Amino acid sequence: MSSDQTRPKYIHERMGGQCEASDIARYVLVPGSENRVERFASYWDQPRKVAHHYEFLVYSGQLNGVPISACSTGCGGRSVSIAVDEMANLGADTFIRVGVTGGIQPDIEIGDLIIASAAVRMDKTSEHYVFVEYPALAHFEAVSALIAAAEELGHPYHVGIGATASSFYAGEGISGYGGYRHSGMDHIESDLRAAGVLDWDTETATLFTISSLYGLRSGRVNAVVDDPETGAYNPVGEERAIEVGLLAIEIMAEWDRDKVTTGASYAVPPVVKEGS
Amino acid sequence: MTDARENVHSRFGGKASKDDIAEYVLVPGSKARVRAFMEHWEEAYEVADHYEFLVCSGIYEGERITACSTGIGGMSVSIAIEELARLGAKTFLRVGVTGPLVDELDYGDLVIATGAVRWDGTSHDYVRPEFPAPAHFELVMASIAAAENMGLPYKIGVIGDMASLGPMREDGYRHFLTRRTKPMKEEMYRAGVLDGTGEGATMLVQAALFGLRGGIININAVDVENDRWDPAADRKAVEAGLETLRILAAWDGQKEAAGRKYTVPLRK
Repeated sequence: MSSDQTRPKYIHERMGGQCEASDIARYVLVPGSENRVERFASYWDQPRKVAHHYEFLVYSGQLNGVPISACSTGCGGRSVSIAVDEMANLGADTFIRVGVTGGIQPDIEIGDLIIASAAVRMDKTSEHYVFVEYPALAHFEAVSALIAAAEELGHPYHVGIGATASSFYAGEGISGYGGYRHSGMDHIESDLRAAGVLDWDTETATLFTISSLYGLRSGRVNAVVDDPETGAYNPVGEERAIEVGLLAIEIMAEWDRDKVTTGASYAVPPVVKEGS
Repeated sequence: MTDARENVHSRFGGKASKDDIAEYVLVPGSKARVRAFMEHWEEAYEVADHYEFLVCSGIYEGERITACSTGIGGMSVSIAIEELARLGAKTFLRVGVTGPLVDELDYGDLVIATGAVRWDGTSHDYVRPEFPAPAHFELVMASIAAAENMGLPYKIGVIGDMASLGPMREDGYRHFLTRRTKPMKEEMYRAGVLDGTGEGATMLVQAALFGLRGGIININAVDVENDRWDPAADRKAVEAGLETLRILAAWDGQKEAAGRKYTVPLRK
């Protein structure tokens, strides 16, 4: 391939011109941090670094025979949107985000996993893609696979709606430098708690909205690492989330192979026949 | 915390009690469709007929079931869901008819909603606009399984929910439309929204807020090519709705027996 064809047309295309479609698997893990990409790759066969451009560290390899990629997204909607658009252009069709979070509901403990079925679109980035009343949905196959993985590994988990903010300190009602607060920060978390929202992050709604619009599949598992009530921080759940994310992709790959064999369009549980 | 003060709609005009309402509830728009559901049940009785709400309960395939018409629009459906939830309903399946928005939708297709666009108005009284209107994944899977089992063609995806017919019809009486309404259809089309309804998002938002399960099956009854409306489509949607709840109830029984929280596809 000539250098003209490999040179990107804009700065982030193919992650700075470092990747080709052949480098990226159908299944892509999208954590926030670069460190988590390396931790994923430590579980794979033949892991190789594909690109490292801004906050995007991309690895590809094999997970028990399943071709797999991981791409860090950095923090925030704008970063995630670039990663997802580029990965999709290179052939990815299934995204599993593995992140860390703080819980909003009182029954959520540090170390629990939160599997998102949908997300609250306070990210703003997704509004550049589609009007705000469009729902940010996980794909039901990804939700099912993450549940199946958490059950199989015996890790504690919750399933429900997560909130995505467009900033960490102000958007999640934490407080800025010098204790900076505005009045909206005082009731944002209590309103979301009343609405049954499980947790905070700054990426999921962007990922879900974009993949739903593009007809791609996405899912998300977050590990609860801090408790806003007590101020405690403990990253014990992060390894659990990594294990669940990896196993969920193995499970989806198995279901996808079954679909090819049986001709089914979607993975669903078996049906009990009428009157039996 | 008390549920609410007594009002004109409490327990559907005071006619329904907790014993009358099953955990599984079909919520069509029209009263006629409630009666169509009842024809398939082993046992059936009328619980209440109050404003646009006809509430009937009975037994289908050995399982207690309720059907409640919601009338048209977010305000109506929000009252029905509030009252049903307070009387013990846990699972809501809306069954309706619809016209197509995207080209991929064929005449007679079932449309299984994964979620809905919140252009309903009513759900904005409940929660901020960024909150999603998602169908529960177990109901999505049960609807797919029902369509597959019955051999009916189906599509799954995001559907529209609008506070009026305006965006779908493009011209009101004497071609009256606000400038803002006309581009709404184009926006939904570009976003791949499958069809338009008037109740879906309100119900899905309420179900998500209350920790209950909501799902929607519509049937595309508009034959665009031959410019006709097929009333027989209604029958297919009614049967698909019943089959969906039969499958879901069976899955719920299996999951309860196994001590599992959710139903998911099996692994080898």
